Amino acid sequence: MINSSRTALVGGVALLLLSACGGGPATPDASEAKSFTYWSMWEENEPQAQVLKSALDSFGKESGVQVKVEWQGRKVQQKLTPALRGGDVPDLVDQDGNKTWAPLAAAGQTRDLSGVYAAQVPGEGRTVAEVGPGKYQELVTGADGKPYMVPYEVIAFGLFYNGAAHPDIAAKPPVTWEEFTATLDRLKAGGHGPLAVDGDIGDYDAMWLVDLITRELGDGSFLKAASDKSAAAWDDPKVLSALGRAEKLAKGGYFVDGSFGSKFPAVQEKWAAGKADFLLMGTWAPSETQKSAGPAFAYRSFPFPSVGGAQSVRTSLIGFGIPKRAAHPELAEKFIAYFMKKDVLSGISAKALNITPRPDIAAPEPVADLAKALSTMPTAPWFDGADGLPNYSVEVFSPVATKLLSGKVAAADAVKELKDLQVKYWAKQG
Amino acid sequence: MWVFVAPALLLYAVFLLGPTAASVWVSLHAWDGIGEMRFKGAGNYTLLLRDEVFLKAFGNTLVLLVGGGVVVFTLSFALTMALRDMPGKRTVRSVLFFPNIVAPVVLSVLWGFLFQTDGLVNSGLAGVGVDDPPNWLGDHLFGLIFAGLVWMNTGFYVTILMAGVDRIPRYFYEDCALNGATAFQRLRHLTLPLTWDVVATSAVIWTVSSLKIFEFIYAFGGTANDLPPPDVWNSALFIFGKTFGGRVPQYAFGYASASAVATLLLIVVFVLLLRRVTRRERVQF
Amino acid sequence: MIRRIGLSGVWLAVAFNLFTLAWIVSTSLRPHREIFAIPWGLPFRPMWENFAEAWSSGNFGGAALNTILLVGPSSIVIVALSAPAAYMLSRTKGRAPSALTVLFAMGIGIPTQVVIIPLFVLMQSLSLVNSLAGLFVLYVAVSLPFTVFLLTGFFGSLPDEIEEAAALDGASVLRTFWQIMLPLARSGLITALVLNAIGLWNETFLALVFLQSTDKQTLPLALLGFLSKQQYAGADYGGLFAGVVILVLPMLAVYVWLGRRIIEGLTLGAGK
Repeated sequence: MINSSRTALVGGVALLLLSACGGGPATPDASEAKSFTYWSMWEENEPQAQVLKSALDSFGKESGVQVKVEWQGRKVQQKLTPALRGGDVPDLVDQDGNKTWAPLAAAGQTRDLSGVYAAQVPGEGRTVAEVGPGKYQELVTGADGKPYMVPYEVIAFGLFYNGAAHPDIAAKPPVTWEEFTATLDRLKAGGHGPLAVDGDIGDYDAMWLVDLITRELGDGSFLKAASDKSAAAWDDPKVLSALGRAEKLAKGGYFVDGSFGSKFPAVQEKWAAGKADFLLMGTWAPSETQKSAGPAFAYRSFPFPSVGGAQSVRTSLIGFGIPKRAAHPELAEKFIAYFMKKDVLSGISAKALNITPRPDIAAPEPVADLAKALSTMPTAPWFDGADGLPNYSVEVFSPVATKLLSGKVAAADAVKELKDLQVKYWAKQG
Repeated sequence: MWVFVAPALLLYAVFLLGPTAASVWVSLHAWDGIGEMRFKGAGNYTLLLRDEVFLKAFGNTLVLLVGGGVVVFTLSFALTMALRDMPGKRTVRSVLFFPNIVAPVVLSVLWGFLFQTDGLVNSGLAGVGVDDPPNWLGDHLFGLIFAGLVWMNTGFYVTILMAGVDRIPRYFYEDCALNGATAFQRLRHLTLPLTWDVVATSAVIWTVSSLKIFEFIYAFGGTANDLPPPDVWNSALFIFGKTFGGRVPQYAFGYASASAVATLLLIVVFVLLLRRVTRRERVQF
Repeated sequence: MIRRIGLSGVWLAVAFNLFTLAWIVSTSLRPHREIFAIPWGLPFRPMWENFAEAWSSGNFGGAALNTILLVGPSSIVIVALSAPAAYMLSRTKGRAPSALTVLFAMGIGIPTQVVIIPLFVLMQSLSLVNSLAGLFVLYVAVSLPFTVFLLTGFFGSLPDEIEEAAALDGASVLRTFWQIMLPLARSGLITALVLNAIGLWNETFLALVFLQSTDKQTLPLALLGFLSKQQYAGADYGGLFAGVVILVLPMLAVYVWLGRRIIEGLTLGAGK
């Protein structure tokens, strides 16, 4: 490598070729193997960081392992990719599951964490999989059938509302689409659009349609249809029926004014200020809107209503992964297992106000409804797993979703447009 | 003479031209930035020609380059002319330059509040009796982005053009006034010829830097995670969308490199044309 | 008539920019909730804690120091390296200097995202990743094209006679450059210095990729961290705007302080 780097000064091309062949796993030095490096997705003073910090401290005391932490914040992922290309990689990284790990797993850059799932949680007599994360293992398993991440925070998606303003809904939240639309009609009669969506974010529009489609055709059907190179799967009459429901919402004026003519987070803020009733969002909604909602706001939520069939809870995960080239993966794995201990992990719920993968840790109040749903209903991945198709959402689905939801096209035309875009999309995937 | 150029050229070559050459090489491959490269020949380039998303982004780049250039330079000239003998023009120029030192993300927040459904612009329109104002952010996003970019850049080029105009001795204009020249004649026969070099330099700077317009457009994606709709992408956004951008990044470095090389080639053509068109004898004064 | 339209145009633009500045500062002093309820409201009870929040929670303190240490020297070195190059390119006739000038101009347009991976490999092999010194080298390198191209304009506009006189006196090229041409182009150099300083002060992407330890991060990274933290952790536009004001004010001061110089500099460097 030293010789080749000299050549690099002469020409970047030569360098690129040479180092493309280099870079095997670094061999750990036994004498300093009692420490590992951790890059965190949190900033140092965030609640999650506080929880992790105290866990790292106590882990260090109990095991004698020193952990070198960099609190990178959300931009950790942009740093990780180039770092994987060469040189020192961190031993432990956490991030939103799909955002970082799925593409890296597909590129064969992640360590197989089956061992962690099978490892004992210290002092509890049960494995990591058994105490909770096992339920989510399927969602973080790569094409090779091996899990690439262990979640410590579960994000669930549902419709959020203010329970203090709507005690009747809190007493009996709508379960079916009919019940839901009846509630909407009642609220709409009060003079404003009951639904809030920041329509400038394509994925937020798409979320409505993904839920409507999968509720009608079943979980996994969206991913299947999106993966269909001929796009013929969208011809299913049930698709038209699902999109027809969205069209009704759009044309019926159910979305609060400004939903498709503002800049995020304007509409979410309107919702928090009580100018709309429902917000389809992940469980970060309470913390994201806490400054606007005020103390009287009681966060309540329910999963997306059923259309004929059963309900499931859409989830996305935040958790640990280990790069394949990490120098001290065993130590990092040991820490992951340690972090799954009930008294350690409960900080994520108690201090960071998020749902943990352990059902025996009570979820914090603002997201308790969805946590409860998680314990009784099956899970389904965010975007039905289709976010793994490169740019599919931003190039194909979201533009159509935005048009349909904002009332610019009818359901039948949306299907046509979707098919057209999808055929072109697949034609250019190599 | 090479001693003078060598240090700058060396650094430029090693840290920018070298990696760029590497990118040209990468553009012939499929590559995720991490694993092995897979040779594709011209595959990425032929794909670009069929990729409507890229063609749209490329078109937007051209609109910004040409359309934006025309508007920015027209406005800059108009403002410069008006400013020429205004009292307090120094302060005014500083104020006009101001948007260039503010993070674009904040300017985009301002844009949002101005143009949202119940924003300031629509309130103003309602005040003068427009009952059904357009959905600015929903239907005319690219136009708004265009306007914002014109606003920022006009300040920058006013500063530069003004500098050129200031060099023209005042008595030239006084002579013109005595001869009864109209404002347009003054512009055509006096200001333009005497500031031609500044205009030519600015035109090249605009052409090349318009390629890299990024942050203000990106800021309309919503959160720090989301990309704006592909309708408003330019090629810089396209490159970002194919590499680091979005909720699930693509890391399609081969394809992104190809799109960058294609755009860069376009710019080479533009710059050479510009230099040819603007080549004139320097007017000594 | 045309003048009147032009003048009202100027005042309109000035008013709008002043409004923007006032709005940014005012918003930085308001609570998040009110910003969205009444975007154009005034901070009747200024929330100075927004600044405290941004400063401490965004780690702006250490970041400010890093940024100053990085931006100051690199702006100076950029100009120091660009000036001789630009001088030679603009004062020498022929095909090679002209081609080189175009080559430098093209460099302004190279998109960073595309060269980032090859660049990273290169920096890694030079052990310059995660070091402020490494970022310093990069800042110098990527700023050279713009600066060289800009400065060729300045040197090109200097009258030929002075140089010829110096040559007749038997002054070496180096002396002519150092003692005669450089002082003449002083204001151009200051312009280049300030424009580079402003640009690098806000540079985010290279810093993001090449700095890995948080204690080395720069101000734009601190702002970015503060901004992206709002995802999952809670939106706070008051704090965000305070962060922006912290970032902008020093540059505003530099600009106002040196603004006259910039404009005079651009005046001299107008020709090419």
